[in-house]
Amino acid sequence: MIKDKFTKLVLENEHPNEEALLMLLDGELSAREAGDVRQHLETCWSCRAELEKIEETISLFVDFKRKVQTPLSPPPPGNWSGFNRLLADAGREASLPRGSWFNLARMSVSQLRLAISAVALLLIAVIVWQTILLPAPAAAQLLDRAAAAQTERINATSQPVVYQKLKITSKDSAPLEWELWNDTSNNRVKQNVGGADATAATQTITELTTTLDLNGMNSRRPLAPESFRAWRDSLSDKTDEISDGETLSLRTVNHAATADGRIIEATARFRRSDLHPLGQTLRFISAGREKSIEIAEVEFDVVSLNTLKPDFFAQTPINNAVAAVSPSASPETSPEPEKSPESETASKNPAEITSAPESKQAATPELEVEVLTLLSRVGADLGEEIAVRRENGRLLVRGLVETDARKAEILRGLASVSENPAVAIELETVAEAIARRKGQTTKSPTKVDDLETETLTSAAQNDLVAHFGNEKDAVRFASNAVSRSGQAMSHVYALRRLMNQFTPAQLKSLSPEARAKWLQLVASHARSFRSSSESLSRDLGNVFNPPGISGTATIDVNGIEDLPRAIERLFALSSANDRVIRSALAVSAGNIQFSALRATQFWQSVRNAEVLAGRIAALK
Amino acid sequence: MSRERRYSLFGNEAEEEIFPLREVWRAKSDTRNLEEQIGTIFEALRMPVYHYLLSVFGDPAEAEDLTQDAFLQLYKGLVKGQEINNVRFWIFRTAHNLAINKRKHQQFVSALQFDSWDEVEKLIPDHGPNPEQIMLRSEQFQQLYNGLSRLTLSERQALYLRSEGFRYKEIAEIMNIGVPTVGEYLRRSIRKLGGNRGD
Repeated sequence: MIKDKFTKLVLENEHPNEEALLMLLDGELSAREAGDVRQHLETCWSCRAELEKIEETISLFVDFKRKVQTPLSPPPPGNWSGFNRLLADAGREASLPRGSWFNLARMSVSQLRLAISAVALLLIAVIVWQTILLPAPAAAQLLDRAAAAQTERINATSQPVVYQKLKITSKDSAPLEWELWNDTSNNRVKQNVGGADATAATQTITELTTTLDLNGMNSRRPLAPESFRAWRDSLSDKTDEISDGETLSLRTVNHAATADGRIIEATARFRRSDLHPLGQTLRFISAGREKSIEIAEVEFDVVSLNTLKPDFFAQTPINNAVAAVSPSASPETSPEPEKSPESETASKNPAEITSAPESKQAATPELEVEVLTLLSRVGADLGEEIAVRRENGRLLVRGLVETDARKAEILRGLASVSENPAVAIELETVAEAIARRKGQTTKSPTKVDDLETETLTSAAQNDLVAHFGNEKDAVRFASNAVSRSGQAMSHVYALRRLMNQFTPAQLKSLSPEARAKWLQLVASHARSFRSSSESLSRDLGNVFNPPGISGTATIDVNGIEDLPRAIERLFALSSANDRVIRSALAVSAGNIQFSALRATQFWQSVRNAEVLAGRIAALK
Repeated sequence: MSRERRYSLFGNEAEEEIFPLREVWRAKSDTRNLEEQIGTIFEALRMPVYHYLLSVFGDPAEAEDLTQDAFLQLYKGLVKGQEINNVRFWIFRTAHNLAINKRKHQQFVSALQFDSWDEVEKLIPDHGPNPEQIMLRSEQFQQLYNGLSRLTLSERQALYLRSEGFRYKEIAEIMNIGVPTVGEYLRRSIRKLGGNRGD
């Protein structure tokens, strides 16, 4: 039917209609029809323009959906909390006997008595089976119930702030106390670490929170049953053991753990009466050997936010998990930047060794370079929208990140400058941004889904399929190449941002040390671009037989003053290359761009970009 | 017991689309019980299904409920021994039908849960190398946003299902319409999103 309509259109009016073009892009035309349309496209500019317009709209929509609609959509309001119960109910329903053997009306009294005792026995058996013989469902149940109990307790207070004082014990260091205030309605946390040796204390806490985060646990509420459950749920091969003594304890062993930082065994202890979590022992691998940390609750309280001073959380500029660890600071300390000798003492903390000299309170370009370096270390300078700029004498690090975990990671990366009064860090997750806007709170971060599948047929598909012998590998290769090209580009964007961060005059006046650091950043992005481009072009070369060309850089890079031009040139070259790769491999354009990946011009441009990046990287 | 029965969860087509999920599935299919497997699939597919329902029907609480319901149906079906070849397709179809049955008439639904473009714009992270490009992209997004608000319910369904990677034939089956109609809906959607008033 479509075919008839379509064939007629091509034959009578010469031009395929809009629908036929869309179907071509969507791979919904038969081979013959597609061939006819492609042939027509080769000769017809207006149809080609039309096709491109459709493609642009599609890619704009895909972009919009991914970058705007999905992240800005409200998360599921119930946070999927009902599903496990629904599933459990359905499971019970499914396993109930469906036959008619059990018919009360027909039973004699003795039979009935027998039936009742049989049911009772069965019930007992089920209880025993659930709690002792088969701890797996019991473990999940225990955690669910403990989580529910705690949620109930916390929510009994309006605008609850959960206070916990924890005692952390590990073999390597003296016991220390860790206090946490979780403002659950505004997603803020404040913490305080106390111990005989502040340095060791900070180290222990950092190691602990890193381990918790790495294993999917919650480093802000380490004892929360949800945190344990999240870790346990993530394990593929585990055994549970519940023991019932003075306290109820659940020991879960992760049989699959091998990598550094992974928890191999964790035990959670709960009070019998109300399942309140009392403590946890974690055994994990650290630097190749086993380590053990014990967390014990000393105090637990839920207070209302109104009972705290308005600026109680203000001291920690944003909810940072570890960045605020300040062994000497008490929660009541005023957030005023100090000029007293105390700040000198604080800066002896080894975590701050890398930060700017303490005498500089204002946001110096040197401090800016330092912050950029720190961001670079956690990969936060590759297109994530984090801006670093000077404002009113302070250095403002502001950005929107996708998840809580990512935010915590970046804040940890910035830990060494977070105490610096000249630095203000304002990071928000998308979910928080929405919550703030609506004046509401969200229970969980918007999970950005990356399962999105694109089934756009690629222009180079014929070549690729011929090379790989099957479509599946070809598609995988194509999408891989497109994403690698994007990654390479992200380093060029980072280079541009670095370049625009300072005026040439500022660059000149940077201290030699800061300038060296800045150059290192530039070099590292240039190197990263070059190596990703080279590895990508090697793989593309295997399929598309490039001409043997070597690259030339038309720009000399002898000093910092040459960088702006060089980086702009690199940007022009690499973005053109990226466009070619994307249009050939990502979105179908019939066979219009078909030969682009073989073209001498394209390969020349790729090689030139690589050589130029090499020069930028070599600048000392 | 019925849950011991063999069932296939992914057809070939779906396998290609969600190979990470397939890996999880294969690696663990021997040791995990059905509930846990459903849990795995649920985790992997719930957000796409939720976003589909949300984009098309516009109610977060309902979208969440219906998503959960659809997975529950999957579980019940598998327990009964039903053979399901393409779980992804099956889940979307079930969720879609649940939603249609629930709401017989359809009101206007904003593509995003915001009152106007200005509100959305404030929240969009800057994507692009320089201010000019950011602004250009923002203008394009605004046009798209306006286009989305002009789509009919059927056009939205077809568009968002297509963007989830479904073929025309599958979309036709999910929406219970003919394949050419799917083509027509998509053409109109693209036309409206591209800035034309539609026809």
